Amino acid sequence: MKMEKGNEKYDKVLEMLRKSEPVLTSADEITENVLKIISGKTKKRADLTEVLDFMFSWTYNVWVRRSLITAAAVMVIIFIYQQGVILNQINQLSRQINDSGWNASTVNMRYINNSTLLFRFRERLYPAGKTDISDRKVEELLRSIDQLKKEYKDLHELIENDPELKRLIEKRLSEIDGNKTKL
Amino acid sequence: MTDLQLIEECRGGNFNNFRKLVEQTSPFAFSLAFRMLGDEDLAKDVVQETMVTIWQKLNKIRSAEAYTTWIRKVVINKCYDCLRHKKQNHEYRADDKTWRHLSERISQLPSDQLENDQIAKIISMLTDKLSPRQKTIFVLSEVEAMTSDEISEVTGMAKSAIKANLYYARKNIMERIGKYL
Repeated sequence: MKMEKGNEKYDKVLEMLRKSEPVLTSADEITENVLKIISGKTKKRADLTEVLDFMFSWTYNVWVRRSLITAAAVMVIIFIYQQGVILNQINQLSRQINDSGWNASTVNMRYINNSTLLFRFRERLYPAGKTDISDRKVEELLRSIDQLKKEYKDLHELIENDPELKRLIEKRLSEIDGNKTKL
Repeated sequence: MTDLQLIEECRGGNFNNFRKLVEQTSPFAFSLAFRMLGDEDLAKDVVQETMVTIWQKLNKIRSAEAYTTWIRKVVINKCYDCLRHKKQNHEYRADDKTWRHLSERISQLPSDQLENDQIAKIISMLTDKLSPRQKTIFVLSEVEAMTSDEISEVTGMAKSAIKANLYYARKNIMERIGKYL
């Protein structure tokens, strides 16, 4: 009985609510506010268009403008990429210099070989008639390099075979460098 | 409710046509928002935001029916967000005098329409213990007389969840009616 009464009241309340439609009293105010907001947003968009017009107004051809914008964007990307590569190479070189110490005592045979190889190639790339150095001098230089390499090798073997001499040289090099050098 | 031709004319950026569209749409949107929120100022804010959203997405509207459904969807979602936020800050508490007044009105069943503040008071009195979700479902189903299919389409909720929420909302409101009226 109580439940039925509750249901009845529930239905009456709902009926009241359904019948009563809320009334919008200040429709004009809302309309004006909405138009104000959207005209503000449209103005912002128009400002951006104005800036683009100012920058690219010398041509009104749409595809030219788009191509220019694309080209500019691509160039910026390439520039940034290039800077990255250069920076990376500089860092790598700095690291190599730090690692190798870069002094006369650490210049090894590999370095000499690479240098002479490049020099020999140079002879092919630039015929003798066009260089300042004569063929004879180049041959003499290469011969002396070969001789130097042979002597370096002999000296290395000599030092390796004589522990006393090796210790003495290491001690002497350490005095010069200030570091303990191992041959 | 609204003319598709008017929407198409608004797409060109014509403010005068959009003014007409706002004038046509606002009362419907306000009614829905007000019933859900029970607060005139908040409902007006929701209507305003809804109309701005409509302006921004006019290109997506393909038919007048889709427009009505879409308006409902936007209003309901904005109101639901409002309710969730409001729940944390403010809760309406009805005193005995207000309940007595409502009881008298029910027994008289007036033929004239209720004022906005009376509608707001009744909805708040009945639903202030409900969760935002239950309140939303109650208003859409019982006051706006939407079917569960329509509610599901607009809110994105499963039908089973809608039924469960409606059951708990009804139960809670019946208890309050039994206790106070």
